[in-house]
Amino acid sequence: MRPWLFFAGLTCLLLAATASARENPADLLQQARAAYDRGAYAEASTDYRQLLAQGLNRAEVYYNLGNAEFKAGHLGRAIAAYRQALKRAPGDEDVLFNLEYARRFVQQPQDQTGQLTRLAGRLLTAFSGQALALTALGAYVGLAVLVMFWLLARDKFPGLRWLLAGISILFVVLASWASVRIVLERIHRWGVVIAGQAEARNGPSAEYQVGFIVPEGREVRLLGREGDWIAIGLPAEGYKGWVKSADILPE
Amino acid sequence: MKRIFPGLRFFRLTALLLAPAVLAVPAPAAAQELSISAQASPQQAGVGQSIRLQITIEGKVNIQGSPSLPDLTDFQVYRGGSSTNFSFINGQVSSSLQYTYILVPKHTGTFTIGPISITHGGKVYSTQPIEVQVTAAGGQAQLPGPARPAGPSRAAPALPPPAAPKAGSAVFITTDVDRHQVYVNQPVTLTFRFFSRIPILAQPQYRPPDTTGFWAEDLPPQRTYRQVVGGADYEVTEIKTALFPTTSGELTIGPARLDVQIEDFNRRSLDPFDNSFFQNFFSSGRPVTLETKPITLQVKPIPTEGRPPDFSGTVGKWSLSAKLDRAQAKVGEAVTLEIRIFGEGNVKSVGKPELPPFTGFKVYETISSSEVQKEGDRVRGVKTYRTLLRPEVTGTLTLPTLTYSYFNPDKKKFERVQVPGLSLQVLPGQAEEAGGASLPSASAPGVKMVSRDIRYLKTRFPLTPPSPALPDLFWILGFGVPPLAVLLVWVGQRRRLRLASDPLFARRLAALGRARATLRKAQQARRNHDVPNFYAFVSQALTGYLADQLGLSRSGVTQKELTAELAKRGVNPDDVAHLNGLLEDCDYARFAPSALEGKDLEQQARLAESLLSHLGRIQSKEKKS
Repeated sequence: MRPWLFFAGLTCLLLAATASARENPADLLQQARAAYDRGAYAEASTDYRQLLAQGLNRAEVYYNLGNAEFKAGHLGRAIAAYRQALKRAPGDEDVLFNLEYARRFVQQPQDQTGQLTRLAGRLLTAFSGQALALTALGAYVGLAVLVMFWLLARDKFPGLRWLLAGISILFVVLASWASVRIVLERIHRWGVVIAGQAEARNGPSAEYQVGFIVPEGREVRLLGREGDWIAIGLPAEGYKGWVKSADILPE
Repeated sequence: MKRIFPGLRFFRLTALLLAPAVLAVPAPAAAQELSISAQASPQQAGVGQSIRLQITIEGKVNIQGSPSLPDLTDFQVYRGGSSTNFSFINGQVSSSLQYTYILVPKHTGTFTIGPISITHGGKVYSTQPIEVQVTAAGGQAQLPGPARPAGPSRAAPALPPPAAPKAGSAVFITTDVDRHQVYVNQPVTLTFRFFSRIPILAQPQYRPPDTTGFWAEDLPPQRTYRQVVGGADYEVTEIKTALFPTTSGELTIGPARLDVQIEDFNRRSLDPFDNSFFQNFFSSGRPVTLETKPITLQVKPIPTEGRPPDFSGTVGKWSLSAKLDRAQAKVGEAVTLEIRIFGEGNVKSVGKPELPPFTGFKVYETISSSEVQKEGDRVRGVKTYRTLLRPEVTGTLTLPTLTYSYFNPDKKKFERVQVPGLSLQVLPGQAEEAGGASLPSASAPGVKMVSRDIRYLKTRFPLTPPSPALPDLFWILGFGVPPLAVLLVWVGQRRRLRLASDPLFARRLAALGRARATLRKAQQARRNHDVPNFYAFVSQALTGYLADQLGLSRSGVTQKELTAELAKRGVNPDDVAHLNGLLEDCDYARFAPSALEGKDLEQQARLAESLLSHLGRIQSKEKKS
């Protein structure tokens, strides 16, 4: 056997093995975990991103990616990944814990909102928009069935109208909840600062003066886009400015 | 005698001695409290040449007053300045005064200067007389020749830049810069010089140039020295300023101005016995405003090529140091990170270093302070940034490497300095006691929190993509079908109730179906060539249908009644005529079948179908009307 043929064959085998490992989500997941355990956080992060690119965009993968980024010192990317995980699993306790933990490394203004507002905010984001919409749909279908039943047998079941009123109220509440959640998701777009110190300028160009500087990991509201510049808003401070799109990871 | 400047008059003093010798004779110092000495240089001079007379008074007292000069009518006398030094050491006062005069002889001969005296504490202290020889060889009038700084006067700085040639001017000012092409924020040294070879009567008023577009830092001290310009000896006063351009482009340093009061020699009498002589001596002189030309600088912007991402606009030559105020701390205790950026350049514009994320620390606000030093005509200093950190986890925490980028205008490139990561030993502490840095959940009773970190990876979950978002059709059907179903149930229920309560409505609804079923039987009879039954079924279908529609009895209704009822309801007479024709045919079939021979049964069947549908439409119209 000619030596070059042997080496070519060996290379092909190795490549095939590597490709196979890369393509198999279970192997890739195992590989990412091993990298994480030995402190190779950048490598773990790359593997988790590859899993996401393969379509496995589950809350768990985003959560693990957030962990790898956090350990690698990329606070902004970590928070962005945790937010993605929370979108997919709103009630996940681990995601909430790690997100809150990571947020504590970001210089943020003191939370001035009252208890009631915070509770409303938590309640609003406790479930995903789709879950809420499905629940509302269930109540809606139930309401329709009950109305039909009432049409057919209202004489036999006079108390049915109270049940009908109750389910109607439930439906209205659920539908409103889902609507607000979905509308907020669509109207209020958020992003996370991934640059060390993002300079927010007074206009969409480097020619404008720097208005304020946003630390890495700060969650900002996205207000618009002009070329390579993104308009951001800091609702707590009431500031608005333009940062380079490379400094922000939009949701 | 030739005057130096046509308009220049002599500055009269009370006394002046002439002598070609240099003498430095201490006066008999009573009780050694005070001593006065005088020195003339050179010993020999030509007419019109200058002789420097320097008088020094020293003593361990606070010297008041000035020396009285003898009669110096044989000389033109110029005041060359004075200097005073006081010291107070161990409660002992000592002072030294120095007066300098420039004497220009008017005649040849040997002259004696002195004695020069001063009165202090009621006692008179005097110098020895000084002899000066004046020859005719001078010829060319000039101010004191090459700078001969006498005594303790300040030496001229090494190689001062040549002043603008202003030969002939007694006073003039210049400004110049050390470079004309700079980068933004690169220092430019602006030097202002005031040249004078005549006495100035009042403190000159300096009006600095307009430096819009620059950050200005003065560079003390003000220097005074002597310099020869165009063969004339001038006293030069020099003021330096460091300018830092704040924008790029062509920037202009405006003209500097100096308001001085000089002798108005045109108005002065030379005759000491003239009454106006003394008036002029005490006059305030003539105000003159001197002005320099503006200077234009080309300011280049900081290059964008190769600009590091953490570059904050700092220009100069800088070094970086960092330290933590302690090597060990407990969880929650405040630790100060001090970053010092020191070097040469505009200290006040040194930007904040970009801090990397400090994992394991809570980072608080950063405060800054700056210290500016001005030595050797350069602006140097230190900018210090202090950031408060609170460790949140135990163990050895290492801060990431700190870096700082700046632009070095001399090398025309960006440079980066860095400090390797600092370590802090963090011990378990009372995080809760520290306040502010308390963690999300307090330790449970009996459980000691040692360190905190994020939660571990999720390792068990289905390796299938999450269920995709439900399609729009799902939501359309989900929210669209239930109301339709409710509507259908409602309509059905209404119909059911009406059928139960309205028999005529029920008959009408069922009429068409029954009639068509009867017609199908008629068709079957036609196919069997059973003519009587064919007509019997046609008749049954038509009369039954119309009886149901009109609410008449199906069994007892006659053709006449039907026709009358239809006419009453406005049915088309043609349709009624056709109906009557067909029903008559049916009667003939029953009683005289032979009369119908040749009739096309199929056509009759179609006519019956047509009448059913026509009468049905008529019924509908009737309902609407």
